[in-house]
Amino acid sequence: MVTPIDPEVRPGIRRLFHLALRRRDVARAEADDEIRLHLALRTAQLVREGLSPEMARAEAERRFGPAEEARMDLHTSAERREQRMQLRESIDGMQRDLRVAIRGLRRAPALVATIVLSLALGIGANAAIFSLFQQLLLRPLPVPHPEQLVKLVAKGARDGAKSCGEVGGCDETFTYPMFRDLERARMGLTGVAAHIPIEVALSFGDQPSHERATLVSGGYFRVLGLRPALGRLLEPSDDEALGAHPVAVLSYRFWQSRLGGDPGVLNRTVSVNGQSLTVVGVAPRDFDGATVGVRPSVFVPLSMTRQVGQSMPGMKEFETNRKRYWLFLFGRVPPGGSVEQASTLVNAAYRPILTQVEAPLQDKSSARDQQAFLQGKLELSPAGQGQSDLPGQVRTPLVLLFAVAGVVLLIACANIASLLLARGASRGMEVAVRLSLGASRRRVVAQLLMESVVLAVLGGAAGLLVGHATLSLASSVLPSSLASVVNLGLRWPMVLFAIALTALTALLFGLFPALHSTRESLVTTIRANAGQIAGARSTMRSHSALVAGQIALSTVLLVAAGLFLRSLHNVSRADLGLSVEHIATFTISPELNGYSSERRTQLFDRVENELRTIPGVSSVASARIPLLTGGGWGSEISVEGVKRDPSLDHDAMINQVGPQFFHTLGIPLLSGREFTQADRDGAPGVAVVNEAFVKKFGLGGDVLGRRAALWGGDDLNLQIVGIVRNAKYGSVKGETQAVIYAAQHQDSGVGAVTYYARTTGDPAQLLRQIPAMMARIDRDVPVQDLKTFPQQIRENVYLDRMIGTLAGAFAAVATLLAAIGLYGVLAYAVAQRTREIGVRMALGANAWSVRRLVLRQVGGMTVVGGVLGVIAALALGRLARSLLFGLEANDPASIVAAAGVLTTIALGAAYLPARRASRVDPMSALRAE
Amino acid sequence: MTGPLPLVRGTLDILVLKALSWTPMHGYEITTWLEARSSGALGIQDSALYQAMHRLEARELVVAEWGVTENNQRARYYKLTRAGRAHLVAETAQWVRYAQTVTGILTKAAGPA
Repeated sequence: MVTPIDPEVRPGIRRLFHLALRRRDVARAEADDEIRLHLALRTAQLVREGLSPEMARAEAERRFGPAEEARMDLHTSAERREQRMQLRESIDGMQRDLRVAIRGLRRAPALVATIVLSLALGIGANAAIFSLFQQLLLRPLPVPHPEQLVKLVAKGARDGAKSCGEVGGCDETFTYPMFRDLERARMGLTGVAAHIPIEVALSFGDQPSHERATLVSGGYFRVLGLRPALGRLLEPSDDEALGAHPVAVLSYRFWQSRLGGDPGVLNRTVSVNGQSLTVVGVAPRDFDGATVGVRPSVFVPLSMTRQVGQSMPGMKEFETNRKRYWLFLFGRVPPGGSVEQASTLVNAAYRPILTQVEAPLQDKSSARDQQAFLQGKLELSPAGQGQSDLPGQVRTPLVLLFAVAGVVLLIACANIASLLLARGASRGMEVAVRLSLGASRRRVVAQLLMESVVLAVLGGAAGLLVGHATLSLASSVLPSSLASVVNLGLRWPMVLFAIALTALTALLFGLFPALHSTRESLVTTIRANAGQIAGARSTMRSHSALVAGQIALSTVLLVAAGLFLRSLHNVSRADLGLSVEHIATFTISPELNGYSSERRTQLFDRVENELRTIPGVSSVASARIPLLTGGGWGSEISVEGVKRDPSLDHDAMINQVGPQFFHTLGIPLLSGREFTQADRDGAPGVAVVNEAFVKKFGLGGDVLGRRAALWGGDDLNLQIVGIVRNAKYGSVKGETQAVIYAAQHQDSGVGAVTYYARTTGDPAQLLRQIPAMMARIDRDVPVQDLKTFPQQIRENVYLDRMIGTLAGAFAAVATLLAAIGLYGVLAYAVAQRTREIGVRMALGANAWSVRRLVLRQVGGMTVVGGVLGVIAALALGRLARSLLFGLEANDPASIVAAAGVLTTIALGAAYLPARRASRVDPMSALRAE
Repeated sequence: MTGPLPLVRGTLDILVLKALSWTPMHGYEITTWLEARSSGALGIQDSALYQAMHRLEARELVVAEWGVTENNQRARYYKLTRAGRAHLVAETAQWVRYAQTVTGILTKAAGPA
């Protein structure tokens, strides 16, 4: 009969002691044992019934079943049983661990809150930066096989007028004839396409709006491999004879937002810069053109450039001009083909055109430049993410912010690890008991890890919220063109990234304390029941290392934040040479409405006059080139008495400005006069130059009255009538440039004008009045870029602001985390040393010497961490150097400030524990043992 | 009555549970218990019984533990769990109902319903 089994044994009991987990070979051996016993018992019974032993054995085997087969079957079923039981085992185990973990964590709400908050900040910061990174730098164009796309880059010197900027650098621009030559040749690529974004006034017979458009060659959509959302896309047949293809394709976004996705839009007429075009289709849903940061509302065939491209300067005879570089080109490498192969073939087509057709046109440049021109060749570079200048601008800042966010996460992990370590140590007894009861170390580690997993999941979820907030913060400083590209919502890549990060951090901050608190030596000492938690010293050592590491990382961040904030401060205080407060600015482009020069002049005069009548407006200025928007317009200048020499640089920046320009913008007039209402068409041509111009052209004191010409012309039609102080031209951080100002009213060709109105009141209020004023004057002319001047300048330095804001925020968070970590460790240390402190005090130590005990510990960690941090910050500073303005990466003030902040924080975190230590009552401390 | 009866699929599991409902047994005890109760009418190969045990054990309807027989031989003893007992009750009720229904139909004379 049965003896050994307790009748009340439940299945779970075996598991509790981890007895059920048998390996495969054990399961088989057990099955064999069972078979053997069965056969033996059966044989014995048959012998009792009268059979001979041999016959009994044979009969027993017959009844059991076909010997080998039955054995195999039993082996298999026994193994399957073990597998199923082990699976259930681990699921049950995890469920139990989960329950235990949740129960344990609910008893420590402060700890949970601290950890979840730390994690949320760390994961959120990273998820947000990743999202920016992914959207601005990694996201491929929504076209088939984007990896096959390449952009064309012309290496080598080229003389001529280039329009570079938001799509790419100057070496990515091509002339119209060259593009057509390459399009015809197109060997090595399955098509070459050209595109260029322009500004347009767009209307469906109603009030026009100011929009972006893209001029595209006939092969554009084919090379991209896109299918229309409605109607058809532009084809090569739309791009044959110049001016003969008045058709357009709308972007999906524009079709939805402006026309509510009306399918009846096909064959309707849209007016683009006054030219009527027939809508033939809608581009696919996610396609926003091939340039990140430019979202065209409409695509127009390149053949219509003359009719809709008025906003581009110098386009006279563009179809034959081989020195006007303005088109951006990309192509597709054939499937299976390599970029090198394609590049060889493309150059085989490009080089002959360059050397035979274009080289003779470069006759005005020096011999050396002509030589360089002949060396020119094409490079193909990957364009799977489209062709845009944006990634180049934001890459370094984003990499840097990513590094900063990574450091924040590391600090958070270190913080959590040390909190869990302290918790682990105080639970040492519990762990030891469980281990000594026979639970495997793996099981106990798994259980401790489960706690981390729960914390990580909570932290990760909260991190997504923080990430969302961080993204909003980041995008609030992005200029509107960029902000529209960045999707602030929770998108899959960001969520997946956060999940991966969560898993990683759970391991990172969970594994170390779990392994630590289940170490063999710790266990044996506790088993010996020493009365006090031994191993505390080694726990303390791990703690100190973690805290020193945190302090080091925080130092790095604080130094970085100091650098960027000081840089931002420098940027915001940069001497612009003009006064920007109380000024509202906006632009109108009546040229885009197809207005004649006469009508434009009337309009410009009227706007200027009406602006002056708005209450509070004290003065008004106008300019052809808007200030500090990154744009510019420059050329060679001929100056009377200055010898022309092809090897010297005689270039200056140009602007055409109205009366009272310098007065309104606060640019001091050094001598002579500024433009007046009298400087109009017909009156003698006049110009004003800045100090840098006088210096660059070596004019000395004899400036006023000299004659000059723009574009390096020979007819010196302008007389210099004034000198003004230097003011920044294109960008806040730019160098001071030589600038020549001409009178805007003397050039009837001006098509667009930017106004600056200075008010004695609130410029924001002025902003509200301007659209109404423009609607009164001419409701067909849209108001563009309406903002205050300070706002305009902030957008000009958005990268500095983004880095400064985020780095500052991240550093503040990191320092706070480090302070919490430090406080936690010290509080724990004091609690652990209560008895020691009690003994010391009983032996006559006074409160101050006890405090010194705690402070020495802090001091050590702070000094070690701080020094390491400064060294790391100096090393990393090189990466940041290109982003700093007006200071060096080893800026002593930033380093000293970081050290100061850290010391304060460390002492602050130490204050409470130190005080508590000094108030230990020796008697009760000793009695407690 | 000629030859052993073939076993309806799934029946063996219930029979084993029934055997164990009295007391824990090892494999051979279960075999002889079933043979005694069926007077040898059921055609069960002994190995099939062990497979049934493995199945039941994996479903946690029985648990097994090594013990020692009266003759001091090491044997694997199977014991009904709480879940196994509940399973037996439910399956028995269902089996009886099924058998009654089928028997009722088969033993009445055929005719219009």
